[in-house]
Amino acid sequence: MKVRILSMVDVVVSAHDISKKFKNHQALRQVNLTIEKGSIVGLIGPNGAGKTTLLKSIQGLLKCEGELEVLGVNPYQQRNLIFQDVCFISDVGVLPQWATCRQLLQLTRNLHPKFDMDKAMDFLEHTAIPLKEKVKNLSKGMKAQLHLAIVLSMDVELMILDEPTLGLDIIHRKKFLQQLVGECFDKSKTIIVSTHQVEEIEEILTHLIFIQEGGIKLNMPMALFRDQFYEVEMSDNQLQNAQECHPISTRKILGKTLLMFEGQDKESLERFGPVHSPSIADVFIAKMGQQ
Amino acid sequence: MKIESQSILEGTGKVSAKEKASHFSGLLGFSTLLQKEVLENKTAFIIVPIVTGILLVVMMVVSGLTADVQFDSDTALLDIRRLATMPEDIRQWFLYSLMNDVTLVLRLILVLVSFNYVIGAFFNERRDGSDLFWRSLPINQRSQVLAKWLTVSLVLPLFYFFVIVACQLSCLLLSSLFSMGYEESIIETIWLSAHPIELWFVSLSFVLLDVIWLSPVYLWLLMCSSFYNRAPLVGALIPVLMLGFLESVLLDSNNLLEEFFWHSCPRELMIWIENLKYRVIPEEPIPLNLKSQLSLVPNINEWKEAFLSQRLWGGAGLAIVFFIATVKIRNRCEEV
Repeated sequence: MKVRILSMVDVVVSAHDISKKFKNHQALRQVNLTIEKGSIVGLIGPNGAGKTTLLKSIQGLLKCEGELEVLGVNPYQQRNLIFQDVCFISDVGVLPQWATCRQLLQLTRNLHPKFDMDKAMDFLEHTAIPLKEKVKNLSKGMKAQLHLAIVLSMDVELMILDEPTLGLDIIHRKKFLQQLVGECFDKSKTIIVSTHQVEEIEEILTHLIFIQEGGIKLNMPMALFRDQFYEVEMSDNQLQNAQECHPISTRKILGKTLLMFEGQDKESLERFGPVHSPSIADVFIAKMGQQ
Repeated sequence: MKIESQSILEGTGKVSAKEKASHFSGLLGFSTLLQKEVLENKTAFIIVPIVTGILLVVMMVVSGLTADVQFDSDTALLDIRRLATMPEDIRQWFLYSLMNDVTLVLRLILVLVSFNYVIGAFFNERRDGSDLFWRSLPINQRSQVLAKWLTVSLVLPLFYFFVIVACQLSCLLLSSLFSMGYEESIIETIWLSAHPIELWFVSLSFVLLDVIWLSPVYLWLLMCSSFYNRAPLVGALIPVLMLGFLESVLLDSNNLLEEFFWHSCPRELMIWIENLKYRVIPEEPIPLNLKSQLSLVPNINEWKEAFLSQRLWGGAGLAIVFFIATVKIRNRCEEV
C-alpha cells in the first residue's frame, strides 16, 4: 500500500526500465526518467525514435513493461484518475470535427472536473475563432489554438504536447508558444513537449531529453546543458591538437571548421579558437551522429 | 488503490474538500456522453425521422385529397363505410395495421440508422482521431460503452417513437377529416376502435423491452466496432455466418442465424413481419378461422410473455459478456 504526497516528493513522472515492444519493433528500451514538478521538458528525437510511445505510456494509453508512475500512480491502471491531472495535445488533429467550438467547450466542461469555461472563453476572445463554427471548418492554426485553449483551461499538473505545432506556419507557431509560455510562467505546471522545431522552444525549456531508437541518449537540465557542450571555430593548423580532445562532431561551414566538445572546460577549449554554445539542434545532430 | 487515488488530488494541495464535493458528477458526465452521441449524429437521429415524418404526412394528405376527387373509389386513406361494417376486433386489427403501415418506412430507417451507428460507434472515432481526444478526458470506458449502447437501444428508438406517434396521430386525424361527410360516426368507427393511446402505451413498452431484446446484437456490433481496424461490419458478420453454416452442416438447424435475425429486429417490426400472412382485408362474411387469429394487435399480455421469455434473458446474458469484452478491448487501447 503506497501513499505518496506529491507536494513533498515533487516528482511528476518516474520511470524505471520501461520498455515497449510492438510486434517486431522495440519502441522503448529500458527507459529511465524522472521529471520534477514545474519542469518544462523538451523531448527531442528523430521520427520513429519512440517519442510518441513514451508520451502515450506516460498518459496510460499504452501498457509497458517496467515501473512507471505518473503523479504517484500507475497511469495505465488509473487512466481515468490520471486524466484529471494530465492533459495532452497530439501531433495529429484529434478534436471531433462534427462539433462546433461552443459545443466542444460545453462537452469538455461537463466531462472534465477541472475545466474552467470562463478561462477558455477569455482565451478564445483573443483569437479569431468563431464559437459557432464547426471544428472541421477551422484552419489548422485555429484548431491548434482551440485545442490549446481547452488544455490551458484545465487546471492540471502535467501537460503533454506531442508535436503541437506540426503543420502550423511560423506565425501560428510563435503565437502558440507565446500563449503556452504566458500561461505556464508561474511553474505550477509541468510540461513535456516533443517537437522537431527545437530552436523555437529552446528558451523555455528547463530540461532536455534526447531519445533515439527507444533509448534515452541525453537527459539533463538546460542549465547543465549550457556548460556541457561547446563548439569551437578553429583554423586548420589547430585541428590536429583539437582532435586529441575527442570532439563529438566535426563540421564545416562557410570554409570554417567547427568542432563540438562534450564535458570539456570552456577555458581549455579557448586555446583552439573562439568558443560558443551550440544550439540544441546542433547538439542533437551531433549526438545522433555519434550512434 | 484507493489511497493512491486520493494522492493525486490531495498531493497537489489544489483540490479542497468543497471542490471535491462539487467534483465531476457521474450523472452529469454520463448525460453529457449521451448528449455528445446525439449531437454527433444529429442528422440521422433527429433530422431524418422528422423529414421522413413530414413527407409521410404530406403523402397522407395528398392521398386523402385524391380520394376526395374520386369519391366512390377505394383509394381513400380510410374507407369509413367499409370500416363501419367490420366486426370490432377486425376493425381494430385493420386500424392497427394501417397505422403501422404508414410508419413502416420510419421503422425500417430506424433499423438502418441503428446498425450504421452501432457498427461505426467506436470505429469512426478511431478513424478520425477524435477517440484520442475523448480518451484524454477522465471518462471510464465502461461509461463510454454504456452510453453508446443506451443511445442505440433507448435514445434513438425514443426519438423515432415520438415521430411515429406524431405520424399515426396525423393519420387518424386526416382519416377523420376526410370521412366527415359520411353518415357513420367517426369517433366510434375510428377513434374508439383504434385505441391509439393504448397502442402507443404498448408500443412504448415494446421500445423499452427492445432495450434488452436487441442488446446481444448491438453489443456484439459495438464490440466489433471497437476491435476491428477496418471493415467492422464484415468482421461482425463473418463469424456469425461461419458459425451458422457450421450449425446447419453439423446439427441440421439454423437457430443461430434465426436468433441473430430476430434479435436484430425490433419487436414491433417483428410482429409486423409475422402479421404479413394475415394481410387480407376480410370480406363479408368473415371466415371463422381468420377471425380466431385476429388477436395479433400487440397487447400488454404479449409484452409480459415476451418479458418472461428465455430468449430475451438468454440474449441479455450474452449481451453482458459482449459488454465486458468491449470494455476490456477499449481499455487495452494498444492500437490508438
